[in-house]
Amino acid sequence: MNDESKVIRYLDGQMSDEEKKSFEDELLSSPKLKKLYDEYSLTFFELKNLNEVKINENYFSNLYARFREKNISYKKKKFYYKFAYSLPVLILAVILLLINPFNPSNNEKTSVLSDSIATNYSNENIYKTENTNILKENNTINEKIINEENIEKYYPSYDNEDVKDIYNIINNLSDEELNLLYNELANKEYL
Amino acid sequence: MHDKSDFELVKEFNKGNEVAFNEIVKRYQQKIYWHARKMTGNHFDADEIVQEVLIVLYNKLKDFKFNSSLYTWVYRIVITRSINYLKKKNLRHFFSINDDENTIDIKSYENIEDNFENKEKLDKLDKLLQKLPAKQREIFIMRHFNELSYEEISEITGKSIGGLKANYFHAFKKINNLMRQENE
Repeated sequence: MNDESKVIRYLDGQMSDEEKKSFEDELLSSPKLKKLYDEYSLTFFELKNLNEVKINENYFSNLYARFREKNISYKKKKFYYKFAYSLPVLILAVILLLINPFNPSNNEKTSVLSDSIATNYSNENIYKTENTNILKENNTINEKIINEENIEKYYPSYDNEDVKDIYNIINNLSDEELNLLYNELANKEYL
Repeated sequence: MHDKSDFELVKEFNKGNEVAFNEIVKRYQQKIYWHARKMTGNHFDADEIVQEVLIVLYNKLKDFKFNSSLYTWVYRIVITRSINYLKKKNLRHFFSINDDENTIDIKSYENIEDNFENKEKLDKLDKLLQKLPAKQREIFIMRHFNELSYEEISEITGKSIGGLKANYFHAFKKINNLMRQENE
């Protein structure tokens, strides 16, 4: 162990009683060790002296009040951060609800409906009418469908429960959906 | 309230008694402040750390299970906050982010020392300690100024006693050299 290490261990109180005794004996016999010890002990006690400082006591007496103010604004900040994080999530959730891919789109809905209608319209009974040829008429399908009197005249199978269901559904479609339905039907082979 | 143990004060606070927390603050505020002051080297930064530590104590005291003494737990918070604060400050300095609010506030703390002699002593001590690396400074402060045993420091920091003694040795040697250079 070098001299510096011995001196610091002694000053720091790390030595056992035996080690202390041995060191103190060495101090008496070694001027080099004594000089080093004097230097370090001066530093040691000067630092202790520098530590004996007081500051304005008002600082500590106001500390609790200032802490309470800061704690209130810390809680507000915490709330704002939580809000800031949750708001984009909320917005995203609303957007996803509006464009929910799991609900059938208007196109899908009318496509399914048009398939049902096409199946029923293709029924031989429908085409067996005396007074009209649907294919030649210029009216839109939705007008034909919605007009119940016409339905009775042109589509004897209106009495068919399945077809009646379809007409009930169609009656509840919006104009946009009806237009989509018309376009779907217009593209079907039977027209 | 003054006669109650730390355990009783924590229990009282957890029941909703704010006066108990006030008492805890009074007991530890000087220790918290002076460690932060010696770590940061200036009053403004020390005050920031003290406020942070008190906020943590206020919000986390309900989770304190007395697995260690309250003093050890508080000290652990102080040293963690101090080191983190210094790291953040270094980063801000590195990226040259100026905080104008701080410059205005520093003026209000100019007279924190109650006389000139104390101010000189504190300035000298701050300058010496700031020359040590943060981790060495932390150990040196706990051992030399707070006179904690190595076992206590080991419990607070989680470091080995041998490592702590080595840290103290190097810190003391460096400070000795600095003081000698100043005196020459």
